[in-house]
Formats: sequence, C-alpha cells, structure tokens
Amino acid sequence: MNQEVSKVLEHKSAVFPFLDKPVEIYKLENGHTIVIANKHGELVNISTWVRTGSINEDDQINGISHFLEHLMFKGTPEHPAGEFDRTLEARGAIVNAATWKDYTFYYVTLPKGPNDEYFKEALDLHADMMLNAFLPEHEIGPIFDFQNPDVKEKRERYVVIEEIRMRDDQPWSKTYNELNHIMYTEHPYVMDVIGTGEIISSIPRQTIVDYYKKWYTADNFITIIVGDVDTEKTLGLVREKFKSAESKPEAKVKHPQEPPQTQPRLVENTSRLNTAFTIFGFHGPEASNLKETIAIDAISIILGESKSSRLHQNLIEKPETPVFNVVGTGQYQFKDGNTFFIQANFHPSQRRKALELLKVEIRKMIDFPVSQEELDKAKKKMKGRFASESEIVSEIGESIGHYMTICDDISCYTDYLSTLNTLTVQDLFEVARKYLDLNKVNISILLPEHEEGEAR
Amino acid sequence: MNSFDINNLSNGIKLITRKNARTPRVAVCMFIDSGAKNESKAGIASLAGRLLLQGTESRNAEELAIELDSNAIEMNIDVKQDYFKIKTVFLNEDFGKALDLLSDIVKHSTFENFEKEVRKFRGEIEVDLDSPKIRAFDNLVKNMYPDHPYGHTYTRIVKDLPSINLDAVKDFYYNASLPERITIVVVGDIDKNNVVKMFEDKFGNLKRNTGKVISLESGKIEENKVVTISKNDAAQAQIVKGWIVPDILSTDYAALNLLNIILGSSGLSSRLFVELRDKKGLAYHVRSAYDPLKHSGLFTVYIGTAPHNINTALDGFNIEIKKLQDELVSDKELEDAKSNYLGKRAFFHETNVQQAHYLGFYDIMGLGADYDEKMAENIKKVTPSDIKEVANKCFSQNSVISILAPDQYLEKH
Repeated sequence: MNQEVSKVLEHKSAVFPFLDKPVEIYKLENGHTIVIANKHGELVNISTWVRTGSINEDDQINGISHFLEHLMFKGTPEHPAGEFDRTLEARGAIVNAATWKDYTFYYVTLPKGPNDEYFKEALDLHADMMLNAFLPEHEIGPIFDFQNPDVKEKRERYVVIEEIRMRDDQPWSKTYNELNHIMYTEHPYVMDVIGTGEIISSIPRQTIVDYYKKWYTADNFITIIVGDVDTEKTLGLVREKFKSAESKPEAKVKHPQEPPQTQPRLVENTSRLNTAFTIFGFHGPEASNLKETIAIDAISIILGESKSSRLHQNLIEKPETPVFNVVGTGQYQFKDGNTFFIQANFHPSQRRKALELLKVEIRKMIDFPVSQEELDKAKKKMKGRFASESEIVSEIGESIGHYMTICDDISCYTDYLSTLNTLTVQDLFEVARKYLDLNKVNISILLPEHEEGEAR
Repeated sequence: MNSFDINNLSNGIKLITRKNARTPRVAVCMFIDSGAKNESKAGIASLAGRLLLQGTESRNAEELAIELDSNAIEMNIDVKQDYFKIKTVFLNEDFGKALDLLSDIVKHSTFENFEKEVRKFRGEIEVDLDSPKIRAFDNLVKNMYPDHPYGHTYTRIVKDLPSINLDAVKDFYYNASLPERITIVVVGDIDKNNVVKMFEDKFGNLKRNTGKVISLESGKIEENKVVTISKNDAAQAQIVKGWIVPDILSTDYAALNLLNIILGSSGLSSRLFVELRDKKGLAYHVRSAYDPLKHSGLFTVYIGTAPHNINTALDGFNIEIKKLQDELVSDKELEDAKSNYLGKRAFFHETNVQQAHYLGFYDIMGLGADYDEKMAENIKKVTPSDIKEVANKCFSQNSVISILAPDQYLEKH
C-alpha cells in the first residue's frame, strides 16, 4: 500500500523536570500523537499507549483488553509469532506490555545500537505489531468449558487463566480486587482488569478482532520515544512506520457517572493465611484536576509513605503492643476519578483495634491541618522522585504515557512540581476534608480462615 | 560507560568514584564483605542492618527518619548471603547532609530498640510468608543448604530469632565493619578530589583491625528430595527445583550465565517460556534463575501452575534440562544469548545507583571493580560445547524440588 504519511497538525514543546531539553509533542492529522523526549545515554525506550482498558468493557467482555494485550505478541503477516520477542531480546531488549483501567501500553527498551540500528529495527517491529496484529486462532486456542480441567489444546487462554489464579493467591491483590468491587455501583471501573476465567475461556476470536479494530486506531495512539535520538529524524520515522494507522473518532463513548457514595461500605473475606490484610479506599478527584490530585499525593506522603510518615511512626514504631506489621498509602490516578488508599497488615486477633487506629489517623487529617514541616518534606520528596524518574528512559516514557492518557495533556506532569510548590497547608486541609470522609470509606478485609498445619 | 578511579583511604578503605555529568542524583554504596555467610544464627546480619537505622548517639530513630525523609535522602541497608550494603541516593544539592548521616549511622549507631526491631522483623516476615511463592522458595533453599548459612531463609530466621541477643548482633557488626573489608562506591555528577577528601575526613579514621576470615564449603545436596507445603485453598501450585552449581569465581560463571538465558531468564523467548507457556499454556510465570554466590551457586527453575498440572510441569522441566545435557545449542541461539547478555548490560547500568552497585559488588566478591569488562570478554568466548559440559556438570547433581499445593495433589510426591 502506497500511503501518504499523516501531516503534523500541532506541535508544542514542554519543559520536563531534570531533562536537558524540552519534550516535543506532535499531533498528526489522523489523530496520532507522537512524543519525543531527549535523554542522553545508550538506551532508548519506545512505547505506544492505547486509550482503552477495562473502562471500555462490560460483563460480556470483561478482560478482553488484557487478553488482547497478550495476543498482540502472537505475530503479524510479516513477522510470525515469536519473531518479535526473539529478534529484540537478542539485542538485550526488555519487551513487555501492561493493561490498566484507562489504557493499554506496549514497550521496548534497548540499546539504540550503532547508527541507531537497533532502535530503528525495534520501531519497525513495534509499529508492525501495533497495526497488523494477526491474532491467530491457533495461538488463542479453542473455546473450552472452564470447569473441565482436562483440556488438551492449551494456548494463550490458559496463560491468562493462570495469571488470574496467580492473583487469587496473592493476598494484597485479592484484598484490592474486593475493595474495587465495592467502590463502584455504576462505573465500569468496578471490573477487574484481568477479567474472569469463564469469560477468557469462552470469548470468540471474532469478538477480540472487533475490539482491536474498534480501539486500536490512530486517534487512540500515543507513541513515545525516549532517548538520545535526533528529534526531526525520529518524528519522520514514527510517522512513516505508523502511516497506515486509521482514525475512527466515533469510537469515543461516554461512561456512566458513579453516583456519589453516601454510606461506608465493608467487605470481608477469609483465606488460608497467618496475618490479616486490609485496604481502605476513598474516591478522589478526576486525575486531570491537577491541584487536588497533587494535594492527595502530598497527603499520602505525609500519612503513609516512608518511615517518618504518621502511620509508620504512630502505628508501627511507637506502640508498646504490636497491632500492625505493615502500613502504607497511595493514590491510583484514573481519568474518571482517582482512588486514595490506605493499606495495612495486622495481627488477626487485633482486628477491631487495627481498624479503629487507622480511622483515628484519618480523623486527625480532617480535624487538623498538617504542619508546615510535613508539607515541606512532601515537596522535597516529590522533587527527589521526579529526579529519580528522569534517570530511567522507561520511567520517563511511562510518566508521559500515563499523564497523556488519563489527563489528555502532558502539562499534568510538566506542571506538577510548580503546582506542588504553590500548595499550602490550608489547601491540603481542604482536600483532606473533601475526600477523606469516613462516611464514604470503603474497607476490604482479608482474614485468616484458620492457622495452617505447617510448623514454623 | 565512563571510567572510574580507585583510591585508598589512609586506613585501607577502598573508594571507587565515577563521574557521570548531568545526572541529578548521587549514589553511594558502601559494601562490607560480610553477610548471612558470617552468621552464627539466622537473622543476625539482617538485625544488625535494621538496627543501624534505629538511632545514633546524636539522633534517635524518629529524628533520623525525619531528617532523611525531609531531605529526600534514600538510605537502605541490604543484607545478602555474601555482603552487607548500605546504599544512599540523594539530590546533588544534599551531598554534605547525606554524607553526615551515612557516617553517623556507620560509626555512631547505638543499636537501640532491639526487642522492638526483632518483633517488627518477625511481623514483616510473617506477611511475606503469606505469599505462596515466597514460601515455596523458602522451603527449597533451607532444604538445599540445611547446615549452611546460605540456607538462612525466613523460616529459619523466625526459628532462630528468640535465641539471638543484642550482644551477638553488635559483635557481628563490629567484626564486619573493618576498613579492610569495606569498599565504598560513589557515582554521580561529582568532583573526584573533593569526594576523596570528604570521605577521608569521615571514614579515614575508622579503626583498623583484623576480623576472622570466614571459609565456607559450597554445600552439597545429599540426596534427591521433594519437600512439600500444603495449602488447601491455593489456586496454583508453586513448583521450584534447585541445584547447587559453581560459584561466581568459577571458570563456569560465564557459561552458566548464558545457559540460564537460553533456558529461562531471557524474557519472552527463552526455552521454558516458549515450551511451557507459549506452547502448552501451563503458566503465566515460568523461569530459571542463577544466583552466583561467593562459595556456591544456586540454580533454580520455577513455575506457578494449576495444581493438576504438577507432573506435566515437572516433566517439562526434565525435558528442557535433558535437552541441554544431550544436545549442543545452535550457534544462532548461543549468539543471541550472548548479545542478550551484552545488550542487557546497558539496562543494568542505566542509573548511578545501578552502576555503584555493580562496581562494588564485583569488587567485594573478589573479582575486581572492572570485572564487568572482563566478563564481556569471557562471555564472547563461550562455545556450544561449554554449555553442554556445564549442563552435565550441574544437572547430574542431586536436586531438591519444593512444591506448595492443596493436600490432594501432594500425596504422590
């Protein structure tokens, strides 16, 4: 096919923390976004982010985004299954992909090679995979009865089912998934990204092909190159390699809004464990609400990240009788609303006390402002974190891709530190009062069923 | 990669520096040639590491934590079988502050809060052991090295903790932290002369002394063994098989690295991945690993799979191992493995902290800080028959298989 490359419609530059040169962002006529970040060093990171994930699924196809992510590695008409992995891993490449609620992304990190030879080869293979995935029936494997263990043809469907089993055995994953289920009543975020064994064993190939064609379009692609590359030449290469990408803007859908939560929600499960796990989840602002999102990141550092945090000092270091083994906090940023979470592992006999102590620490955050010293610490720690990310090409690529898919704009990253620096203790106090409301908390608990027989 | 310099402080501490201009953070790794291998009881070295962050003569534990965090100084202590590493990473602007804190911790720790730290340590281990994969590996390693400090796993530590006292921990640390056993590596946008002077001021006065030199056997698996843990609600069986193989100083080190890449550590294209995952759909995670220690090497193959697949998976391991013993790998496969190794070096040396780690690691293991370059040459020389030979040498030895699964699937093993 002798296709024309798509024209550049828009170009802007953004100053990126700790990088020597600004990051260049190009929007093409067909909707494809290309980002080039210059960083000195031998390694280059290539990634394409697709604006789809479990957010675009329903009960019939839950898990399809992630299953497709696996199948994308199963070859194209030009490069049969296995060739992509073999060729690139023989260059020392790290090749992989990930699926989350709002996005799916594919990446290659490798030395760029003499005259950028490996980089060009990797870009060629990467673009071919994104645009021409073959999704062959014999790699997917036939549909089967999920309840019957004696299936002879075991292809990729089984690999994903093993991944589901693996997560079922991981107590933190299990606790988080149960939390996620109670946090939403309407919004598709309620679904687990990985889906269910019943669906993965029975979903027809054609449904997967249709999903691929619907979402893997130019306007849903953001291709990011990070490394010591020539910007103009690289832009030309990416446009050339992706020229057959088509745009189908009608695929955009509006997702149902999650109604405001009015009551606390609790879910409790048991498993063969020796310790008890809990995660508290609060609905947060939309990720594009930069000021509030950053305020919650700062609250998270103060409350539960690192050794000097309140939870660590007050719940682990200071108590005379032990209640907790592990405590921590974090924020998952999502397009339609973040989740702020507190996670803890505690001694099963101390259940009531553990939950109460966590609530006491949350109440303190909404009854009194944090100290100026705590806020200053959060600002400095965040600066260190940005510096740390700027050292690693794949992390730069991930930050750009993450913010450009969930906020539609790189400024959520490039304006982050300057916005953080304007925040006051009063700002944090207001955001804490708005979101850390114990009347709207979601709590998931995973308790030991009974002690296991094995002597320790 | 940029070149590096080696200087000796006046008391014999080795200081390695590498300047990487235009990097925002400096990394310092202080390696001490001591670790679990020097423990009389499992957990002593780890406790020593934990107590270093529990306060000094001039700062209590909370003050220390606040000072580190409010300056965004990462300070971690990593205790492995063969070394004890204090690692600190900080923004360029905080060099002086970070060095003050590092030196205070190394020289003036008071080892307070012993009981509390024992309790916390045990709690954290309990949480980790609620992961079935960690339990299966733990059970493997302690059974491979039953009478050897390399077998000091979590469950061994839990068992020994009640009998460890503070004096044993202090003794361990003071015997370990002798200048002749220390290598410090500094990598970042630094001025070498300045760094040498600053470290001489802070560490040149650390007392000279000579501690006991440990000599260890490599360990031997007396008979083939299967060890099991029952977990009736496990969705997957955790299966791991291990052999004791040549150590990092052996001439087989390069060939074993390549064998490991070919068999199961190279991501999506290794033999185990292609055969057991891609073709049979047995697993999400399947891989091999080679952990080169100073007095021994630990080689493992691992799979997490549905419990009814246990035998199929073990057969799959055997087939792939036997293939390595019986057939020469093709020239192409070996060349790919070599370029995988050489290409991945860039990935493992991307940041200052990774570079500081490898410079110090090779030095403390007795191979010299410049070993990375030598290793590249050794890798290039490996032939298909070297791989076959080392496969026969390693896999004809006894092994231990560790399985965690529901009871009904363990009966036959």
